[in-house]
Amino acid sequence: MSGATRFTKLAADAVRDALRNRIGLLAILFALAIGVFADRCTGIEGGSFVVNGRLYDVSDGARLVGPLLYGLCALTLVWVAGLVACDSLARPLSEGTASLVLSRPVGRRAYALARLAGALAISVGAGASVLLAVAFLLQARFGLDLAPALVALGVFAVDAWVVAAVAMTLSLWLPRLVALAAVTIGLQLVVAANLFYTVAESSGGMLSAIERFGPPLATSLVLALSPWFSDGAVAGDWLEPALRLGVWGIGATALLVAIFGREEIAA
Amino acid sequence: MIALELAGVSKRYGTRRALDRVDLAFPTGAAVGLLGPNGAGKTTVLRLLLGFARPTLGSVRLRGRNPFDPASREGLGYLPERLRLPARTTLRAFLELHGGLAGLSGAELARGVDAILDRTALRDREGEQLGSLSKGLAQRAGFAQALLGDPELLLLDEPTSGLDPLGVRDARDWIHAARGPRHTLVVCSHVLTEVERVCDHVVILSGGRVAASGPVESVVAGGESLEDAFVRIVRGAA
Repeated sequence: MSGATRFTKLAADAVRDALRNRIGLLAILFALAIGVFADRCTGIEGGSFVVNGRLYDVSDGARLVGPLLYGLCALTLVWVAGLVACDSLARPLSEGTASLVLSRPVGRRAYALARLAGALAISVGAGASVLLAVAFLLQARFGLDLAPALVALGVFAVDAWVVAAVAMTLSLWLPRLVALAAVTIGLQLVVAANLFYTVAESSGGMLSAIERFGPPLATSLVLALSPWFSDGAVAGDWLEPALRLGVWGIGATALLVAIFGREEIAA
Repeated sequence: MIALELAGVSKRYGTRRALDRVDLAFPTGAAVGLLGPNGAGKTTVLRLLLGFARPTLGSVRLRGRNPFDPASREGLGYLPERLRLPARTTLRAFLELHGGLAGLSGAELARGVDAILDRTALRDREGEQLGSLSKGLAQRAGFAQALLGDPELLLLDEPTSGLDPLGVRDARDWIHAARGPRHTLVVCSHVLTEVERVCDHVVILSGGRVAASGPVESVVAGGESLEDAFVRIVRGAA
């Protein structure tokens, strides 16, 4: 049997495992709830409102609401990817079911990558479906182009990969809930840094360091969605954030494989 | 051909010494009983053979390969002492996964799973979730996955744990059937009468060291049972 066939079997088992153990179902339900939330947020009928004596049409706000809503949904779904990944490898190791699989001709690298792929299949699959639905809602109700949303969908998948790989690595060291808390806090810090320095100049300190060296999770989404912004204010350089995101994805995955390769497995 | 070999192997867990300069080598076709009191290092030997842990010193070879090479585990069946089965998986799905990972596919996989279900008397349980099985039935399920695909190297850690007397007798038959000139067997057990029945070589570990090793008849003195020899050797090594 080829390594690719074994990998596919292991990844499919990781998907089934996540669904059987409810974490996958929870992720799917969470994604659906986000879809409902997006539907409610975009369900405003046409009309106008007055701010400081100036008259605005509801459609004027769409250019700001669209990217905000889509970005918020995408980042929440990235967090869900971390949640699923925290469980996907750590649970079979702690429960002891991994040892039977690893007694087969299955390499550590293949096992870790298959668990990551299985976790991502669920979280990115559910997330992409919801984001696509949100994109169509924004197009139908606010008249926003689909193209930026589709680019952001790809960015979401890469963001989810980075966060899932980091979460899975952390789950090898930390109890799952602590790992999840670390991923949650880390994600919030990265997003805060990314968004703050999207509108402000870098001024040193922790947030600045995170923005400079951390994974540009929110920056990349903002760049992808920038054609939606009415004034085109955010149109930065694509190459550096894209490269940094790729380096983070590859680096986090390589770290996961390296650490799992050294892990001692209980018999 | 040497099926499994430990050369000068020591293993430490922090400050605790689990194995101390262990040398073992067994040819293909041997049926080895790995014996020792609790904490003697039996399970550590299995973990090293399976590539679950690295030796602190020395080298381990499984059919000439490093156990961290996945190819070293081609044709290997393993039954752990603390068997943990995926609770929400059906027995058949579990066996199909392990049969697939063992290299079976298509009709061969279906036939292999059917045959092992019949052999372990679990056919009427194939649709049940593993979490719903009793301890004895779960142990049978563990045996079924270990024996799938006619493994050439079978590592069994306390294989009769949780089995009733009928199950113990069945397990003995399965182990006997799994032996052959191309098949190597390693059994870790505290049930010395079972080891005496199914193994031709024994290794007695005590305090992480090999206290005795060789064919059963060379370890057991005239008129002694294996249990008597075990007690004599372990007390002598202490």
